[in-house]
Amino acid sequence: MSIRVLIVDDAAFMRMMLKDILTKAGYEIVGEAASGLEAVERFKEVKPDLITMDITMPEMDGIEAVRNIRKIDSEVKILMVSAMGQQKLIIESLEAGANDFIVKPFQPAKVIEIIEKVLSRAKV
Amino acid sequence: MDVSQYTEVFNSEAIELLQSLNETLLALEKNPDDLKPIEAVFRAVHTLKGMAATMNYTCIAQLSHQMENLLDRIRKKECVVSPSLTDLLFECVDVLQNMIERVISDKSDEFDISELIENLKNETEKNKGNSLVKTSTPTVSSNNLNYYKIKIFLEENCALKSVRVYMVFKCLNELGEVVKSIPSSHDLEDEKFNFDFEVYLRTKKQINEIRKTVTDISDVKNVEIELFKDECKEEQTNAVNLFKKESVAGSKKTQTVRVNIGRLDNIMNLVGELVINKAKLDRIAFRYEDLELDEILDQLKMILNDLQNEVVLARMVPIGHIFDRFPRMARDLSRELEKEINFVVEGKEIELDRTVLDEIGDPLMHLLRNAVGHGVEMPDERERIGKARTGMVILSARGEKNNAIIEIVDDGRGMNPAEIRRSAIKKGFISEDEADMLDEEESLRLICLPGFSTAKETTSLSGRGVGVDVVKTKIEALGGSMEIKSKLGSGTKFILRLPFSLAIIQALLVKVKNETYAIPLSDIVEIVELKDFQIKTVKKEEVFVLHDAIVPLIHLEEVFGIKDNGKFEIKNVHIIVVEIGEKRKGLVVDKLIGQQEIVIKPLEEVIGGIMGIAGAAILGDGKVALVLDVRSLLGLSRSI
Repeated sequence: MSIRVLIVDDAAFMRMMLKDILTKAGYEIVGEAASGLEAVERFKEVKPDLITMDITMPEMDGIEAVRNIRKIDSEVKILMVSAMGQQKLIIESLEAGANDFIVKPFQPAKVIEIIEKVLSRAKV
Repeated sequence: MDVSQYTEVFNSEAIELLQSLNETLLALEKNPDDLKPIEAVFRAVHTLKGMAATMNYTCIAQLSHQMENLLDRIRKKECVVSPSLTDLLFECVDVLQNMIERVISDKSDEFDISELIENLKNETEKNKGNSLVKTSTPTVSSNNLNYYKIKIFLEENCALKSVRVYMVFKCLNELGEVVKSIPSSHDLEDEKFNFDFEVYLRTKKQINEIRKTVTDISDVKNVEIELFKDECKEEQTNAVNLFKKESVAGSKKTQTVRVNIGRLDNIMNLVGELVINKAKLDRIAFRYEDLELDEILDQLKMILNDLQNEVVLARMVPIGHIFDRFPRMARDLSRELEKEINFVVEGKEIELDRTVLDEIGDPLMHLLRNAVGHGVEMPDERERIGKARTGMVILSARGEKNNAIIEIVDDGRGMNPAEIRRSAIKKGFISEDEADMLDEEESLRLICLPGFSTAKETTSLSGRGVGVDVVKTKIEALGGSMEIKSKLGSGTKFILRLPFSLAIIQALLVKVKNETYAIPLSDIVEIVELKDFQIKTVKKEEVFVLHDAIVPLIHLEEVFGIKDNGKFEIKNVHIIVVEIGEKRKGLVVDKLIGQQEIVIKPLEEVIGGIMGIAGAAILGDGKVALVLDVRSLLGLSRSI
């Protein structure tokens, strides 16, 4: 069974890119969300295995979304998607319960490498 | 390695650790299920063990090692915190304290701890049985902490290295304690490194587990781990060195420095000498009337003032330093006496001069023992008279003008003035006629007489009253005062007034005949000039009327027996009205010289203890002025 992924980003462009990278690598995209608020709602509906979460988004930012999701679920893997220079925000997300992070602009191989590492950690 | 240079740091730090041990053990006892205190206790014992081993204090190290084993079991919830267990731990802390005191005085920690070690072992073993039944987790790791040097290589295409470092630290800190890193954590945070860095980890875990944890982190290319040192003396030393290096690297952050109190005393004395010399300079400058000189002297005065303030502040220590030892004492005592007491400490942050602080520990201890031992009733008795079973003892400190006020309040049985009077008559302290003249407050003050006690039964404690005179004398020697308030049936309150700081004070210089005296400005309320006919006599006592109140007069030349050269009669007299508490008197002086900052030097034993004299001060002209002790002049202290 393939890994089910929810992609969260306010830019459709970014969602599309991630979707392509992940689909090519054999992941199943089960949902998309354009804000933190939407992410939490979508999460409840589709119960994905993995979420890619943008940090700066309207309505509710990614960190807040992580906090809200962690209140409901401690299992799902959350990968923060961040731009360069957002160290503080990433650390805050990690403290909020995110598992790892990837940095824009993406190198597809790197994204997959990190996702695999995060998922393999879970198996142990 | 020569560790002697660290003795002082060891001593002061060990004492702090013991203090925190006492506090955290108390917290643990109150809340046995809370993990926080036990972690803190464990940490403190562990730190102490490491320090002691480094210093070659084997007894301390051994005992703390055994304690640590037991604590570790508690921490893992493998045994229950029972009263007997906390008692044992408290006993260990006491023995540790004794050993450390020995170390400080004799440089040796030798002490018979075999029995205690045996008890600890038993307790640990006893609980081991339990743990095997309850949990099936085998104890894989030995109790030994190891130091590992871990070199971490990040992927070269790794983005946001600092966040990776953060993740590495976070994971490692879950395994143990990251002691140090190269480059420093600060530089790592700023990404001032290539793709590899070193971390020193102190942990009980095995290499494999560490490797697994670290390599699981994304962007970690490779990890090299080597056992840095086992836990034994030599290596502890290295660990200590590690800390030392780190502290040098992080010296930017260092906010405090430990200074020997003797050194501060020296600085204080030197500042005192400066103040004296400045006064001399002022006198000389007065002769020359040079504007430039005056200006410089003004500046010098300001700098000197600042310097003095700084030194005074540097000597200030929060009163918590001594307050902190009392909760433990109150606990032990109330347990021993089977009383239930809620002991509250307030105002720990109030700061006092170190010398004052060092002196008030014992007096406060006396008063608190009295409050717990004699003030608060037994639980059953309290219930019978409609009070809560748990008695209340409050120790509080607050600032007020130039004084720190320390209060010891209990909600116990209070004192009975009539009983105190009767007892005083019986013991021959006062006659029945005298007793009739005393009001309630004066009656209460009788308990300050040496050898007075109204306690009907004697316990392991001193009876109420014994010790109170010692307390009063001590507080007064420090320039403070003690007040007693008590209400029969509802409690007693001791109020101690203490100066924040000693040494340099503002004083008024006066002349009596040919002698110069200094009167502390803080005691003076008013200065008036009188014609001699305004002095009246009431009950053979000379008085004058000030704002419709009668103020008794004291002739200093009579008190100090200064010979009148009798050449001329003074028609006008200056009266310095002094006041302490609610007591007021007028000191008759011949001449006012002026206000000056003085440095009080204590009088040595040979000439010390003169009634009415607090010490001496050197004036600008090199002459010595005696500093008046207004308290004893007002008849508030025992000596008059």
